[in-house]
Amino acid sequence: MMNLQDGLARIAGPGTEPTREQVVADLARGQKALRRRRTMQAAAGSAFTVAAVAAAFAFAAGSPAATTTPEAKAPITSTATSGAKAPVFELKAYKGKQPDAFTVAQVPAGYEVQGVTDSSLTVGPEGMADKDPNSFVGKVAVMLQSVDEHGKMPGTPEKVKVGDQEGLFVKRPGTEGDGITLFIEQPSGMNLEIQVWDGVGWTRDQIVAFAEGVKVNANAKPGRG
Amino acid sequence: MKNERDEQFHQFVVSRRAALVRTATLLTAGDAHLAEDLVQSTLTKLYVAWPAFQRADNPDGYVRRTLVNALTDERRRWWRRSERPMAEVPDRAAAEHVNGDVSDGLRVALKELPPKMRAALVFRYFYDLDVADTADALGCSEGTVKSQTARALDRLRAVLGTNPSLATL
Repeated sequence: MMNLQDGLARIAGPGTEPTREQVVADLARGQKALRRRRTMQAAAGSAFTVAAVAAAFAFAAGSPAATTTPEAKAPITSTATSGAKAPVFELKAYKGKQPDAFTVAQVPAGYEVQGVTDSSLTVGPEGMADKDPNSFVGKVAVMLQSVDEHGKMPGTPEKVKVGDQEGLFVKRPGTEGDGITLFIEQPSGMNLEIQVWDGVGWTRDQIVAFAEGVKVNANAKPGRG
Repeated sequence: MKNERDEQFHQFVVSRRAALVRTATLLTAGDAHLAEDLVQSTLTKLYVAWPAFQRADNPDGYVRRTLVNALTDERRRWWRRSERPMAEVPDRAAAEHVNGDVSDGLRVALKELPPKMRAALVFRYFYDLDVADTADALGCSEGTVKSQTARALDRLRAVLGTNPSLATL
């Protein structure tokens, strides 16, 4: 009679050594992902730089029209304190087409709502080549938490105030260097989930400010997995 | 020309890929295609975070966590959906089948377990990890590991019947 370990060993298979082609392909995938990550970080930095320069010119010219747009409802501006190269984060009213599943009130200057599905949307730097709604590299992704997680936090949560609601920042174990997730419980009981890729460079306060303008519509569908 | 990261990664893949595929195959209940997908995602993630992986106190634990994360939450694999899958899964010997033995039913029973429960079972009873290391791999508490493995064994008993090998666990 076979025992459990033998049965599992049979399912696992013999463990064939990788071919040279597989090793080369693994390395190539890693190199490509690293390049993509660095490119996204650079792109995010460039977007912030453009916004910073524009804000600096507007301030120098003393033009109220340039610093306050009529469509921007109480723009939230914050500047990191790490020095002269600190990026400027300014939320502007989002005037583009709203996705069905979610409503986005504001996006930072230099960003746009890009890929949209019935279960998620992505916000990325304007002009970003990758508009695949299922690719979150270098972007901010908005969705409902996967039903397979049953509303449980996938890591150690840290409470934060999001408007009148309570939010939870979670760094998923094993994803160091990738990003952080903000969960906000909805009246439906589901959790709104906002994933922010680290390379985007938003601070937690900025993520919260963006999240305050995100509304989950009735037809939003949670993902699986 | 390969840099130091490339050289180290290359050696890692050569020495560890086969074992990763075996683990991934168990974590996916024998799904070779998904297992290969998980291994590719895991290796890509390790390459990108190579300095952090190198600094990890427990590299084996780091790899297990990365693999489990790839399994349990597809959306956590930030770049996976934009990856171009390999045209074909590389040939490898299929797991041996013996008609009527416990592995047939076991494969079915494993497939019906939730991913993390399956992973708990695999790490505890195939790799003989202790509860603490399993909890580390799954990103949960030790109590959760105990309850998940107990429930997994209960489900296996329900599917496999009174197999003596399960009676001693």
